[in-house]
Amino acid sequence: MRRFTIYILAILVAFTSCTKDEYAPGNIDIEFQFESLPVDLNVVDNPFITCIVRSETGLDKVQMLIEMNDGKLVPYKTEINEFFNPRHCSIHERPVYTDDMTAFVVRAADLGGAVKEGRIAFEIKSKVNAPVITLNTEGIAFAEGEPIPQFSFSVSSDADLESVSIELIQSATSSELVAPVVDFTDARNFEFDSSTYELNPYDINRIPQLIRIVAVDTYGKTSISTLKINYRALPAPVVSLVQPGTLTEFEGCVITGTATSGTGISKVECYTSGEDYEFLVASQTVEGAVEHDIAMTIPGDEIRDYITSVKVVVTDARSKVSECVVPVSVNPVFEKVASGSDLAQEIKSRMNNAKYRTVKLELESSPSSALEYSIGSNRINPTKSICLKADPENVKPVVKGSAGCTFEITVANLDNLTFSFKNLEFQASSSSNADFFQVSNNGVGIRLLEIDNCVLKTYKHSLIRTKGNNIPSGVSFSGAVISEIRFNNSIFRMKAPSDNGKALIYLQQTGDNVNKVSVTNSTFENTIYLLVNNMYSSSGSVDVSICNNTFVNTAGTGTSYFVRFVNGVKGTLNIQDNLFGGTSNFVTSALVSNNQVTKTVRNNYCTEGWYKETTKDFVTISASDAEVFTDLTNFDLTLKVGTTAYSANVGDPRWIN
Amino acid sequence: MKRIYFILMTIALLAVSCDKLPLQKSHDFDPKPLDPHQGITCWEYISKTYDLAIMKQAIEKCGMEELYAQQKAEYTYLLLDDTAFNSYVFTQLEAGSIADADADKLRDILLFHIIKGEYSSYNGMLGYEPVHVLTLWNSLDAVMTIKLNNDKSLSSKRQDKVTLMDQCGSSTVIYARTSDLLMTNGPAHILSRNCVYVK
Repeated sequence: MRRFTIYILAILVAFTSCTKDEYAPGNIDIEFQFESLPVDLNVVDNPFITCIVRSETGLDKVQMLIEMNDGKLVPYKTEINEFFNPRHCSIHERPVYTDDMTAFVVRAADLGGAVKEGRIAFEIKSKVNAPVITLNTEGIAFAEGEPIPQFSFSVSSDADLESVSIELIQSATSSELVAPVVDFTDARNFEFDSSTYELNPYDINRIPQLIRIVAVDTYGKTSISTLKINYRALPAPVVSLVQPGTLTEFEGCVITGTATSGTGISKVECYTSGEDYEFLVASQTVEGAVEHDIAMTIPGDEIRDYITSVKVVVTDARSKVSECVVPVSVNPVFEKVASGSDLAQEIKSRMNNAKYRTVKLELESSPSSALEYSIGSNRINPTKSICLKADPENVKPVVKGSAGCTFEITVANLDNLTFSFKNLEFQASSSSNADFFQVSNNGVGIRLLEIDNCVLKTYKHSLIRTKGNNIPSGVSFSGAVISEIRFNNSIFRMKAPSDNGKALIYLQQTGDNVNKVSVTNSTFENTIYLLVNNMYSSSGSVDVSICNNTFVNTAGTGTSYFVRFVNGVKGTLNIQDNLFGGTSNFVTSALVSNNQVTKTVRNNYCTEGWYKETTKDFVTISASDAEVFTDLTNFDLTLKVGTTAYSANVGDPRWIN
Repeated sequence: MKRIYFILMTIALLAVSCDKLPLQKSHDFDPKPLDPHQGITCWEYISKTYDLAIMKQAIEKCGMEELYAQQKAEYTYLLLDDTAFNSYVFTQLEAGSIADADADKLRDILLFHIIKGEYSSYNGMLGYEPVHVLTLWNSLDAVMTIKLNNDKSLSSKRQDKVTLMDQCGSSTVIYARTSDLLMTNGPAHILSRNCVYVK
């Protein structure tokens, strides 16, 4: 029994002792993913620390500590003493790294009392400074025209440089990258080899408000330096000219004035200008005078009647330019042509002379008799403008033409021509098929065709006739083929009988366009009633004015119109104060062909023999031609005093005493 | 007297032995495969398994056969099936086949899928909370977690499946296609998508 009791007590003692010493110390394994951990304080996403603690006996507790650079261990979070599996502990931590940390320490103790430490060292990369940009100057100052000063800079950086760029800042919202972003990988403490950056003088017109240099390191740290630009624009030279007054063609002149510039005048140039041209006629180099008296001599050959202004251009030492323009008036000079000469040869001899833009001839005339000129077998083929005139105080000289046209343009691509005839008498030859003026080619541009105070006799076909389709192709003339036709104060005695279907102004092809026709104060005999045929305009509008004219014996046939517009062409037709007499078969319904034309028909009279129908447009005079005109048969169209036409003051004013 | 003495001793013994023993808790029945032990090494398993053929090629290309056959170190093998390679690994490697793949990158992927230590449902190392583990890939991007899935819904059929990369940055969570194959050299889990750590 006692022995049994001893057994029982021994068993109890054994049980009791086992509760106090349940585990034996065992092996603890602490494993990190690396021996050391790279930590960069310049970034925000540094790596986690991962650590696995294994224990054979079973873990009692695990402590996490931060080792500081003074060797002290600072607890990190609270110790771990509860485990899902006491033989295993997984740690995954990312402390807020600082410069003074040296390692992360894990200290584990098992249930048997064994303790072990594991350590992962930190490879701390301290925070770096942003790149440093060093400029050699605080700003750039220069004046207009001066070479732009150079500037240089260097960039140093704790970290590797990612890029350096140079920007021209034009405004708060506008900038221009003038230097490409440069990749400076591994360019630590980079010094520009070509550290001088020079603005291109070509960029003078876009000088920035400031220059910005931007350096970026691999962490994205950015440094910006700005360089202010102090740019002084200089005033342009001041130029004034003395009004030269009226010049005379082919006579040289001197243009005077003054020029001032703070930087000094370097050059003076003089130009003559016309409507469509500008030509350098004089140039002078000046040795930097601040005040300069201008005296530019223009040679006589450069003074032409088509000059409308003179321009002086002054350049100063900084290449600043100013100009002054003064309008000028040039009296044209007509060359005199002796009577008896062949006018065609006279004109032809001047056509190829570069001196002339317009052949201007004054025909000799006499106060007592009509001197004569001829147009021989060579009809006149103009390639330039022609202006013919005679003294209006004398008897009109007579130009007798050969067969066919008097003036015929057969050259293409002529532009901006002017033809003016004043105080002359033209007579066609006995040949019946004659035109006064004919354009036979395409691409001809005529600015003005003017017949003033002239007498034209015995022309059969037309006064003006265009035969080509003259819408210019490749010709710079921007208006119509004939911009303006102007008949004034002239007498047109066509050869009878009139040539039906041709018209006085006969634009034979649809494209032969005209912009303006003015027929005033003139007398027409033996014309067909169709005055203007095929009116067409490239601008879409034609203005026709027929006023104060006397028409006699407009005996055509058929149903032609007085003025015929091409269908679709708009315009105005103004017929006023005209007198019609002699023979005719005119009908008012054929006054104008186009209902898109705005008509003004007012105060027109006709004799009772001339007009065949009742009309609301024309006033029919209840009198015969003999009662109205002094002597119609012998072309004395003076209106008899007291007649209705006389009282109405209509027709060519020269027939009203 | 003896009987009384025996009864007292028995009561005392029971009282002492019951010390620190909690009451037994109820336990749900959790079915397991009858025998997860494969009786072969991981390399032998890979070699004989039809849909691990591409992984076998990958291991051979990288000369890592010994790592999958070794018996000394305790590893957990994450095996990538053909679907994982065809749908994800090849895309990641910008390759059409193992032959085209960059060997170094392929090696890194394989090393990332060998965990240091044995993690399976049978050794109590896995719970329903993810734990970080170390892999053989020596990289800052070699971050991985492992756990058992605790989704009891019948539809997902993922209860107690080995689950990787949960709570691991922005990484996609990977569920093992087949969990807890016990090879003679460590547990293995078969994946149909490889693990990629995304911060």
